[in-house]
Amino acid sequence: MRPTRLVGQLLLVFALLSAWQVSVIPMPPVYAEVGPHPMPAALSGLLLVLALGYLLADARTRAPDAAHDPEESALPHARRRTGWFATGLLAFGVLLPTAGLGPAGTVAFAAIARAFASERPLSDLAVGGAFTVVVWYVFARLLGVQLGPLLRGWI
Amino acid sequence: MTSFDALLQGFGAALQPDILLYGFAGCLLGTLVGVLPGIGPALTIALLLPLTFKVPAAAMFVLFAGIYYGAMYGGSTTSILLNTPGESATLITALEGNKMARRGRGGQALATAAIGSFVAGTIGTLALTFFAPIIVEAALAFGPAEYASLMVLSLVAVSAVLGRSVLRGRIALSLGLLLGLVGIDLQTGQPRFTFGVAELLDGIEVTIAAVGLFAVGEAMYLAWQGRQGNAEVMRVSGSLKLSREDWARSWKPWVRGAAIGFPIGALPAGGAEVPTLLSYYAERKLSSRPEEFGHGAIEGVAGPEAANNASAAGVLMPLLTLGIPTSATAAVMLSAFESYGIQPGPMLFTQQGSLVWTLIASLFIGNVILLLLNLPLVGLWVRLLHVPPAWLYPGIVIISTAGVYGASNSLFDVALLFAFGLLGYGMRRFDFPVAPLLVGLILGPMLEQSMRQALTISQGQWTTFITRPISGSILLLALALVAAPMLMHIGRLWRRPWSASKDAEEG
Repeated sequence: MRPTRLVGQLLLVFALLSAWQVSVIPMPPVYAEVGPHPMPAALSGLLLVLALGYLLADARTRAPDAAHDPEESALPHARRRTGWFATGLLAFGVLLPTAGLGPAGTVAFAAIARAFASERPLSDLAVGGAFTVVVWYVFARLLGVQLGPLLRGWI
Repeated sequence: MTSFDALLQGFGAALQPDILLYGFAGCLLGTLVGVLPGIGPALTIALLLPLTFKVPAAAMFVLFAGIYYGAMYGGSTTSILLNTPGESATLITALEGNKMARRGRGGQALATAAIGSFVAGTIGTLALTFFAPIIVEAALAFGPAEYASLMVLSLVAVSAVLGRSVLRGRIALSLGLLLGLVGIDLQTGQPRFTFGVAELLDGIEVTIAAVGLFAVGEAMYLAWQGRQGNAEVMRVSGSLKLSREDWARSWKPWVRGAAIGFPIGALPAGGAEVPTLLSYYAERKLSSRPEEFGHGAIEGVAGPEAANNASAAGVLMPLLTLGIPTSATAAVMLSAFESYGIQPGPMLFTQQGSLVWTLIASLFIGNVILLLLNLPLVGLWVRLLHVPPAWLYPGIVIISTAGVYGASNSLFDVALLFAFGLLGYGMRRFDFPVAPLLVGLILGPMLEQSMRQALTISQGQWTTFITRPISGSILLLALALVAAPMLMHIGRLWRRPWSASKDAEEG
């Protein structure tokens, strides 16, 4: 399926989801001229109409997709790169609570560097590690922002 | 007291040595982050927000002012020296500036951009000083109905002017408005769109959305594209001195740019793209050397840069006097002010006047600091541009995530950040403008609240929005903005038979 068609359908689903959510908003115990329902209901309706408009426009003349633009399109192996990027984000989310900011930042750095076609994983890890330590130091020690331990159980 | 006295008091508060130090830091940081490709002022402010947590209030304003203007300046440095501009407003600077750099006149381009930014920034801030109290006076006559209508106008304009497709702009806007309603409805106490998740009861922070959409989303998009690493960084050879001829050719574009930039920046959804474009076309038309345009005409850098900076000051006007953000950057700043318990709006001028005037004084000071700081430090900025993208973007993502996690220590917020990153990638790829989403996110709940207040005052009569004269005229304007593209389209269709026959005559 064309990606833009998928986008339109996702918008439609989102609008319907939002409409369903509006229906489960409880009635307020106090009377209010404009309760919690009107605005979200109107917006869900608006989004529904706009999503249909998008699908219609897409069916007639293709909606823009950078993948088709000669200047902006992706070079080969785009999936691999986005895969590495997503891995980096996931690694950060998983390692942060379990191992601390240090490992999380280092691994994420290297994975995202890989997503940018870096061919030197070891130096990426080293730079990532150093960078994460600096960030932790500046934020947590100098500015007092709570970032959790650098290495869980140690610092 | 007159605004001049208030301004002088503001200067008095801001010109303390320790506060000036913060100003230097702000300018330095703002330019540093603004130089980095792919980071615009909105993201710069969102990223540097955690820094301001520990800073006293007056110093915070100077820090902000430095970051705000510094980010603009950094962005233009990037677009002159590197062919991929830092943000859309500097696209125009890239047109002529990069060409100048290719011809060995990079130093002059940077110099005219820096001085032009200073001149325009000063003019813009002066205009802000002069007009803000007038607007505040008028705004005190505004009731909730007028505010609600003004917000509607702002929202309509944001989705119509920014981005290439009005439909996609409106979709982004609707998404933003819906996301803004997530959380507990303050007036009735009912949870909306929370899916039973406790962390969503407080709603979605604008900074998380901004950082997710701009930083993570942009990085993901660029990773997908894979075209990084091919950008060429121009060398700044030769001096940064402007010749007499350069000065003569630059000063009028500076002033014209400021005159174009400030009013348009002050309008709802003026943004920075429109004034820079207008300035470019104006300079091209008025130039005695139009053939140079496209090959490195100094007016093509001087004018748009001035317009850019003046519009930055212009954007502050509705933000400070009315509390209405008219750009993504303003939306982030509004949320930052609110997190400090400062509510921008006419009340701010009357109740916390000294704070506002300190901010305005800081803007002047920040401008001067930037001029003094940035031309000598060009070498440093150029070196920054040489950071390989494979290290730059992971660094941006790490800092963004650390910043978001540091603000709330919530993994849910981190997940939300990444979700917005995915959304940002999608919006970038399928050409949905991001600014309407952010403005909708912050204005949505404000609009609902104003609407409710207006209805309470009018005792349930919905016609109040039209029958009150100011509110009615604002809504009419909004309607005109909505209808204009449709009418223009119909007009074009109508005129076609004529032009077809004309073409036939001209053969």
